[in-house]
Amino acid sequence: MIIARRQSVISPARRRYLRKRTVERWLVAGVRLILVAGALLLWEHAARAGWINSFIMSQPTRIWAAIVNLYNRGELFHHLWITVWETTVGFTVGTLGGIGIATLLWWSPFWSKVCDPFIVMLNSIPKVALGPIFIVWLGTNTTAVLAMAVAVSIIVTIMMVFNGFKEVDSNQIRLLQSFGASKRQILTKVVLAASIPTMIAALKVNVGLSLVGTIVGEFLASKAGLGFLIIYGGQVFNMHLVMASVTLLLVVSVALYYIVSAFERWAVRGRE
Amino acid sequence: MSAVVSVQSVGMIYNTPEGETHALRDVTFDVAPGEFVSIVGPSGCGKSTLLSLICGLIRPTSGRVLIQGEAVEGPSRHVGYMLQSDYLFGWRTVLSNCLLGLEIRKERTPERVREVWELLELMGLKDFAHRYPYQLSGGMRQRAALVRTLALRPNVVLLDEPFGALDYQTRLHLEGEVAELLRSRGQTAILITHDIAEAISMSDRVIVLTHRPGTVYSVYTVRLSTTRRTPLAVRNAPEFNPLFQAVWKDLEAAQNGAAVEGARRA
Repeated sequence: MIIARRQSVISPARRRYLRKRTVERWLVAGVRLILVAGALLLWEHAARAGWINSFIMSQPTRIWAAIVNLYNRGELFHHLWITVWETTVGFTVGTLGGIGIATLLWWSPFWSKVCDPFIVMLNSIPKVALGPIFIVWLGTNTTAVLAMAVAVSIIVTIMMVFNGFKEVDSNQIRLLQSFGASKRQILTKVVLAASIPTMIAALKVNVGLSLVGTIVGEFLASKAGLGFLIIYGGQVFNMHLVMASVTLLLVVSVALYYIVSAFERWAVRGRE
Repeated sequence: MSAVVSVQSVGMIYNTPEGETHALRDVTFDVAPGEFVSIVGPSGCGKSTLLSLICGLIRPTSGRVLIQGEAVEGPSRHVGYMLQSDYLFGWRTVLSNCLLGLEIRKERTPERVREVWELLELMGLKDFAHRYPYQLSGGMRQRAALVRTLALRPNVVLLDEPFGALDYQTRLHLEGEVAELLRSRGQTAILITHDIAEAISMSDRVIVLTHRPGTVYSVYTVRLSTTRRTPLAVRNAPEFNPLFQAVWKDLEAAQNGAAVEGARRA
C-alpha cells in the first residue's frame, strides 16, 4: 500500500533521474574495480611472461606471499603496531602540544609578536633534516622516531591553530566581555570552542605528516616498524618485502585517515 | 526620579598609528527608569562608540557615565548589550546560548533557568530551545539574542542596530514585538539606529547626534495619539510624518560639513 502510494507521488521524470544516479554510482565503482584489477593482472602477467624483471619490479602474488610470510613468522602485527603506535603518539603530541603553544601565544599578544619570526623560520626548515640531530641527542631508538614524528607536525599545528584563534569573530568576544567574562572564560567559551573545526583540520593534516616523520625516523633509527622493513628490504634487495611494506603502509595511512574523519564528524556534530 | 543612565559631558578620542580620531565630543543626556530612548545619527557619528562606553567595554577620554548612580569602570552588571548581529554560538543550542551570560556570571540557578524558559516561550522559541542557531530564521535568531540579553536582568538594555541584518518585513514585525516586550516589562532601553521610522516607532525620546565628533544635536519627545504602538499604527498616526521630517532635517543639518554620502535610506 505504502509503496504504491509513494510511487504515485514520484513522477516518471524523477524516477528516471533517481535511476540514472544509481546507475552512475555503480558505474564509477565498477570502473575503479576494473582499473585496479586490470593493473594488477597486467603486472602479474608481465612478470610471468618475462616482460619485466620481477626481481626488480616485484609482482602482486609475491608481494602477497611476502605479507603472508610476515604473518606466519608472527612479525606482521608487530611491525604494523610499532608504526601505528609511533604515528599516533606523534600526531597526538604534535596536535596537543601545538594547541597548547598556540594558546600561550594567544594569551600574550606581546610574546606572539616576539615569537612570530622564529615560528616562520622553524616552519620553513625541512624537519627531516633534523633527523641526525635527534639520533645523536636521543639515541637510535623509539624516542628519536617519536621526536621526528612530533617535529614534523607541531610547528604547522601552532601556525594553523593560532591563525584560527585570531580569526574568531571579535564581536563574539565583545559579547562575552559585555557579560563581564574573564580572559580565561573568553578562551574556553569562545576561542577554543569556535576553533574546534580548525583543530580537527590540524589533526587531519598531522596524521599524514606524523606518518612521514615516523617512516623517516624508522629509516634512520629503528629495528622495527614499516619504515624499518622498507629500508631493510632495500638493503638486502628483497623488493617483494619493500613492496609488501609499502602496501601495508598504504592500508595504515588510509585507515588512520578514516578514523580521524569519523572523529571529526563526531566532534563537529550539530554545527553549521 | 533619578536617571538609570546618565551620560555626562562624555568625549572619546581614539589613537591609532594613522592618527587621532575624535569620535565623541561633550555628549550629555539622561535616561529615566522605564524610558526607551533612540539615538540616531549619520554613519560614523560614534553611535556604537557611545554604546560601548555605556556598556563599560571602553573608557571615555573625558566626562563620565553613571548607571544607577554608579560610575561605569568596566563591563557593567547593570547593562545588557544586543549587537548588530545575533552572534549566537553555532556549537550551542538556542537554550544553551541563552544561558551563556548566566554561565559567565556564575548565576545559573534553577530559578534563572526557569526565567529563561519563560522568555523563550514569550518570544515563541520554546519549541526551538534544543535546536541549533543555523536551523532558525534570522528573526528567530535575533529573538534568541534578546532572550540571552534579558536573562541577565539588566537595568538597561542597549540595542545596537539589532534589526539591521533582517529583511524589511521581519524587521517591522520584530520592531513591534521587541518594543512591546520591553515596554511591558518596564525595561529601560537605548536603541541605536539610522532608521528614523524605527526610532520613532519604538521610543519615547529620539536623540539626534551630529557627524563626527558626535555630539547631541537635538532631542525629540515622541507623543503619538495612538495608544497601540504597533509598527503600522505608529506609522499611520498623524504626528508621525511631521516628526519624521523634523528628525530628517536635523540629520541632514547634522551631516553638513561632512562628505556627501548620497541619499540615505530613511
